[in-house]
Amino acid sequence: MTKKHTDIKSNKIWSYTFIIGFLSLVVLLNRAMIRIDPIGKSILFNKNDFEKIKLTHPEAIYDKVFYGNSVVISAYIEENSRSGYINMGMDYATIEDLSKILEKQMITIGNDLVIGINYLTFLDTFDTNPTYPWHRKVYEPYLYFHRDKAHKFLTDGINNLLNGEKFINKKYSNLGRSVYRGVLPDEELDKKIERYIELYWDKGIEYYKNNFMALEKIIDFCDINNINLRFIIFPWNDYIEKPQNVINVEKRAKEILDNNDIKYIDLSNEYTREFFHDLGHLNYEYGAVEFTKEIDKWLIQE
Amino acid sequence: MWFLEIDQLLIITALVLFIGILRAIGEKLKVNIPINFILPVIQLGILFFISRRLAIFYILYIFITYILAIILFKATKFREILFLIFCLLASSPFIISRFVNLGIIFNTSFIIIGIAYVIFKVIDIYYHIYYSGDLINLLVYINYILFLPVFTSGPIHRYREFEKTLRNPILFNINTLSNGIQRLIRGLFKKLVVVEVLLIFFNHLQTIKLSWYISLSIITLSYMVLYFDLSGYSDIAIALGSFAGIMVPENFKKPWSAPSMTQFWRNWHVTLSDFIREHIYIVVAKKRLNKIQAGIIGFFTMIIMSLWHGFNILYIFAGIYLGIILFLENTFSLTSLNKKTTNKFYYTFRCLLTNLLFGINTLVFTLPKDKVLAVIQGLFKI
Repeated sequence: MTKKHTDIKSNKIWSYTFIIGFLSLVVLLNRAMIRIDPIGKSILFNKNDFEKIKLTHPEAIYDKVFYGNSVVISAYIEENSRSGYINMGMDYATIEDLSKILEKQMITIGNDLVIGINYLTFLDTFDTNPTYPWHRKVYEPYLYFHRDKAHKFLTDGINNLLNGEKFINKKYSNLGRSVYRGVLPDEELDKKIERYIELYWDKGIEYYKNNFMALEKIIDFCDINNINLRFIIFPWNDYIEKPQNVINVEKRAKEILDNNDIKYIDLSNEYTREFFHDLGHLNYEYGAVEFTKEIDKWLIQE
Repeated sequence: MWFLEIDQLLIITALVLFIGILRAIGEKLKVNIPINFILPVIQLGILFFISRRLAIFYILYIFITYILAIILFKATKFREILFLIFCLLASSPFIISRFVNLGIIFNTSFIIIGIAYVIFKVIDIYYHIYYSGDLINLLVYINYILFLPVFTSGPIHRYREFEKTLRNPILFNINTLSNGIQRLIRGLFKKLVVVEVLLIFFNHLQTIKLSWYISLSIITLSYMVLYFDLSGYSDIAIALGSFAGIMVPENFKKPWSAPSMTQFWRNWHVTLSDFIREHIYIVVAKKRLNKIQAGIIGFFTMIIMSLWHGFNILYIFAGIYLGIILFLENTFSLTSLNKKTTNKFYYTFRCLLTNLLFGINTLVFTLPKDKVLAVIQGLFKI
């Protein structure tokens, strides 16, 4: 065998070794990262609402869950409640999000699931927090998905060193979610209404299609897994009359629930202006306290 | 930048690997697989996936520019005028897009990502037809324009090179794959790690009071950021090109070892400076020129190159600045320096000086206008 042949052979062996080794390393490291989830679990990185819930509720099975968007965070005070439901309210959460959470087995629900709904929980084009882990596509490596957090961590760390400080000088140990305090004055509410008309209140029922489909999926999931499923239609501020599209969305949701024999309570007209911070969020000092007291009765009785 | 979006990087990688594997199968089974047809069809599909308006724009652009190519090929009269007009017409979407810098906005529903590089290819085709008298095969033309690994940011293939590599593609085997992956990792590492880390230091330095050594450090880092960013991108494009069997030309060849700006441009963004030299310099300078004439042409070459980067006052100044350097080098016979016969220290000094002068120019790309001036003024503060 000539030297040229030997070189070709050793090149070939090196190439095979490199490719197999590299791909194995990438796949294994990525699998390990997904399993350990260091960025999601460590308080060195900024947390989204889902990660905060997971850290404050590390139990494997969530026996009783009260799911919804930010109106749930601000309305249901878990610590005051006697019903024992976990407040799983998350900023910008929709029904589709819950469907994905259940589909990807990101939480395990034991017996009860209560979902707080308003028209925004059904809006397909509603903004979302892109860092929620169910948004990670199958082909996205863990570090790529968390690139913004990882980048900020490293950038801040090196900048700290350059400023003569420790690499890590900030921890995201506050795991509380945003709540809404006080009552907004008329002018600010009017501004919000203007913005909502533009953003949300001119959307026809076709903008809610995917979330209605997700609702049916969740109903099936709970049926198969013997989970008691109930809904709460959330309070609407009587400062302004409900727009027609909000009425249509609630009507369609009720139809689906009635057709599937699912229990729900409609609180949309039960609270007056002083209970609210803005149009949908109850204020934490007064509205949320009253809401928790009242809803507890229903949650426990049923 | 498509390669920083995982969806697009994966799709383009899948495409080039698929083409590479098809070539290998064809080679093994001695079957003629119509890759030159398959490749542009899939590439158009990818453009549609990225943006429908982008794909439609390029279908129209290819169609129109190819018709112009046929007209140029068939023309027997006014060839020179037609050639110039067609070059301008092919560049018009790019020129119009640059009017934004002048505050003139044309409302259009098209997306024209990549046009800054595509116009070079079309102009090269028109040069080829004009000077050689040959018409380009439509399929080769489409392949040339649409080749995705170099679509948004080069390197710039010249038609002859592309046609040659399309005819005699690199064989796809385990070594090509291994080398390509290594190059891909290197490119991604440069862009995602090295550039990002350098930027932290670069931004930090801007918060410090300027003096000559801080300004010098900012210039050095600015140069490095631009080098790693552009060469990282080229590495990715070269790697992906090799998977599909297409040899993509090198764009960066140790620019820091150039002792003059003339030589520097043969090592930095090589395909761009080669293109300018070949298409503007050589064509304009038909006969032997004296030093002053060569310097003037060098000057305008730099102006055009700067305007290609952007239509604003800062780029014009950068073009004038680089043009003056080239003019002076030509006039005073400083364009080349023989490493073997030159004193080592003087040679090193010239390399450092050339790179410093170019480093000042890189500030235009990495800093806002007011900061560029401040950093340059900082060079004169103790």
